[in-house]
Amino acid sequence: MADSPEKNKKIVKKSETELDISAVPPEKLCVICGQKKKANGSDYCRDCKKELQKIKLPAAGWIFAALIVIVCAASCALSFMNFAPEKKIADAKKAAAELRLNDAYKNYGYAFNLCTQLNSELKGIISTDLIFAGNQLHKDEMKAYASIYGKDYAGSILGSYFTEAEIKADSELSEYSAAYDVFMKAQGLVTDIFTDCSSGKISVEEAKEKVKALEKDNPDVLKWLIFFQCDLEAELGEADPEVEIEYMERLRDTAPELTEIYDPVLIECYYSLKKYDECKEVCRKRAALNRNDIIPNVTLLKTAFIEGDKKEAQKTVADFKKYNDNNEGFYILSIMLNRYLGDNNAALDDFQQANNLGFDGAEINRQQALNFLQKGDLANAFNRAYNAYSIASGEYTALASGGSSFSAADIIETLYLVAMLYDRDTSTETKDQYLPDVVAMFSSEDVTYTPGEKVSSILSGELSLADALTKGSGDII
Amino acid sequence: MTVLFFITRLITLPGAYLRAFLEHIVCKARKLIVETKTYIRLDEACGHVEHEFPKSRASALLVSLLPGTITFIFGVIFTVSGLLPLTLLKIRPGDSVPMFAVYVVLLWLGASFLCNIFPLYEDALNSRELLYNGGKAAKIIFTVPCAVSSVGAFLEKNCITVLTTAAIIVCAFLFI
Repeated sequence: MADSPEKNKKIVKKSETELDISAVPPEKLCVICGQKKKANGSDYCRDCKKELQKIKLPAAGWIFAALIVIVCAASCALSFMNFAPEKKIADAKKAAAELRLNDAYKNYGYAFNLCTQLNSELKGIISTDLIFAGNQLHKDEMKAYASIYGKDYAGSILGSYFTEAEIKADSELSEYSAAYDVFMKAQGLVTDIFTDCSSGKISVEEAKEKVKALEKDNPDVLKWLIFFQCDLEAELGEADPEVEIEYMERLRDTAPELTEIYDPVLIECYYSLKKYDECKEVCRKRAALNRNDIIPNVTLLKTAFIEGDKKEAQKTVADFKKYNDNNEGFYILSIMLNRYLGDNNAALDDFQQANNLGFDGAEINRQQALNFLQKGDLANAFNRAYNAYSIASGEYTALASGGSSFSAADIIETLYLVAMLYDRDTSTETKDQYLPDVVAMFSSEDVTYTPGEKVSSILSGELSLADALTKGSGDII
Repeated sequence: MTVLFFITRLITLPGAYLRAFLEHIVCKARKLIVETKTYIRLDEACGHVEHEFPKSRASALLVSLLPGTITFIFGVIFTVSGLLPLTLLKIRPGDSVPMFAVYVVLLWLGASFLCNIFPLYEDALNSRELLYNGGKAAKIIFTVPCAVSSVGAFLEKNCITVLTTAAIIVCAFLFI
């Protein structure tokens, strides 16, 4: 009698499990126990499969995974908060690599400020500071600062970031510190001479002789003694550009590293002496050292105007724009160029764009005053010139913009011209409320202001405003 | 090589453990039998779960690609969180010991995850084989990931991923 299918199945199952393993090829045996034949479609025998299916996900794994997710969320939050300072530092590094030193210095400053702000906002949640920009970054910040203002200046502010031990341990920092010490020594030597000179006890010539006499015994501070002699010339007497050039060329030969001291003076002196080739050479060198420096570019632009080289003028602005798009200096140059080319509306638009971006420095206000002057709008010209003067007064004498500074004298000269024209050509009823004070300021009994040659010519009618602003230097200075 | 491989898994323990745990989850979800309970052990499958070979293409791709993808995402997040403050912001113990420690730990976690993103070499080969026998669409989508995971699995098996991750971190410190 044939077995039923049920019985046959049982026999098969039994033969699978109770097989003599010596008769089964090894590849057909369970990979775990190696004792029984593999179940259908599997690498394991039925028993092992049953056992293996019981293996559960470990509780430790779930806890670990949950922990990782929590830590990940916290690290995302930390990254989010660090992002803004990190971005600024990355910008600063990029700027430093491109020799946009003012941008680099500014961005380092922003990064540190952002950290302080973020920490103060987090104070309600956590008492300790969470967001940091490492102190090491101050070294990079100081590098940019030293390149703009000089090693001695950088040395003067090191103490606020680094301990003496840290300064000594770092060769670059100790170099800045040593430069500052040398400057201080030199200043200590000349302080009394300067005081005597300013109080009238000794003349400028005597003061200069006394400073010169110090050179022999103090060769280590020679460079600063040369600088102070020039300083006496400029501050206490009527500065003679020829003499200043002599001093600065001597300084350049003695201490070639002090470019930030002698280059701006040389630019100014060569320009005033109409030595345009020498002037352009120094300007180009200075502009290449710091691509944010506006002064050499303004001088280059004015030189191009004087030489009637419009292409060179446009190239100067375009070159500056490459590294200074959307910065105040670029708008100043653009306004000057457009005004010189006679496109008054474009110049006015440039100011508006700069103003919308938050640029409202003294020099750009002065430029806008000239734009209004060109347009014949004396009320607005006065308003802008007075604005520039107010800002300049707040900034003391140096109007920092870019790496160097614009002269406060230019702003006073502009205000004088605008005030005089406004006072002369406008009826009393429509005059600005500040005008009488400004006019009085220039013609008080104590001080009588003496304008420059160009402004005098404009006021006397010898030179038209249109010519002054579209010919020569394209400025009233 | 097994001892060296085991040492590298110990150094990158969080990544090895998480990847193995994720593999285990995928195996469970795809009803694949897992052979061992322990994830960290002295053999070539350390930091992985030994399991039966997936027979379907979907299971094979999931087992070989999904755990690695998740650890990779975690790895990138942790590495960025730890590396940028240490390189860009130049945070050193002198600035704040606790925060420096936090960033170092985050960097280590990130690196440990990034060192454990590839499947077992056998899994990678299996999924590649199944993929080649599959449809056109799957081939287009998964050829590159499968090739990358095969090469990566080979490198990881020979401890080279640890060296490359370390080299990348050193370069970041040198050049950022």
